[in-house]
Amino acid sequence: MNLRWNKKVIIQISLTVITFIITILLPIVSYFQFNRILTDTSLCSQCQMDLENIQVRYNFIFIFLTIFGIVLTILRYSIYKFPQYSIKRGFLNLLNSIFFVFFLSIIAQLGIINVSLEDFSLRLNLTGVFLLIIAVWSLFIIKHVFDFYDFKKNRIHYENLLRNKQNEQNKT
Amino acid sequence: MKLVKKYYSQFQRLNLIRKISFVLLIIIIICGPIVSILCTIAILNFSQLLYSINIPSGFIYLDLDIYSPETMTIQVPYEIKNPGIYDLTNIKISVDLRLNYINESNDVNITSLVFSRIELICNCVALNTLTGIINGSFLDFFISPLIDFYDYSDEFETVYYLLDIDFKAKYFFGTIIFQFSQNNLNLFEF
Repeated sequence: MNLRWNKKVIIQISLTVITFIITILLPIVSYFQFNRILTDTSLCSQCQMDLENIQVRYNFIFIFLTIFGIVLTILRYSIYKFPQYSIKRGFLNLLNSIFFVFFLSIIAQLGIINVSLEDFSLRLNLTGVFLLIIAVWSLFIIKHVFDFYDFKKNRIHYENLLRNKQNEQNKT
Repeated sequence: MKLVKKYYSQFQRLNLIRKISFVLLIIIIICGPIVSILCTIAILNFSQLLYSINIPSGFIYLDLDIYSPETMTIQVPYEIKNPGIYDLTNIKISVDLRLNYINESNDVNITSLVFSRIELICNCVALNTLTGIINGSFLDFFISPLIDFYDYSDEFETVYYLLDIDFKAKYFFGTIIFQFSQNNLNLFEF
């Protein structure tokens, strides 16, 4: 019983840490890296002027990323507090996947890059690539909708299933 | 084999909604890494691609004789190497030629656009090189700025022939759209 409880806690904490790294830590590190690039381009006055126009947009984006990151980390931690096949767990999983798609769509905004130097300019639009990834991740939303509906419709069946599992564990 | 039979028998015992959920999970597990790898390869290849586009890739030929307009021409060679595994599509190259000279009547520095052409090029297939020449005929020249140039330019002052090149294309099935512009290229350097 203790081993099973420990395994559940380890999975819960490790997934929470992974979510924290991907959704909060990486964006914060990228933000500080981006600001360092701004100070490094101080020798090129034209570069700095154009990059500072991007900075306002990027500040806004990173604030939203951090907010969504905190929400996702809390959701990920809370999911494993509820038993398997429970309605609350199904609902939290669904919420988690919806918020993650929002998170990815904000990251897609970072894929629009405009760099202007004195006689050279580059415009790059990578949002299509991020949309591909969002399209695949949206399948998770569909899956969790089905799961949530299944847990709600067959609640009694899953409660019996969990009760039987619990009895078997108590016997062993 | 026993494992496959065990999971298959468990799968058969599931209700319809759980079966759909399971199939969706399998699709995500298969498609997710494939899409991620394809996207990563596209972004890595793209950075090499930017360095492989040479416009102009050699000598530029220019004939500005307005007294025989049928011979007026500009030829700008280009070379596009595609080191990636995806095709480069919707390639559009725009070439503008500007003349910078001193007006001898009032000593004013004038820059006037005398040529403009947009060329649509066929797709550059993956791992291939596309070479060609952008040919501008007298129809692409603006005659009245050229006449002003011949009439008013100070022949004792330097004339600058400045080329502006704009390149636009799509990569990775149209999901990566990029455009770069290089202005004020001195024609005499080519």
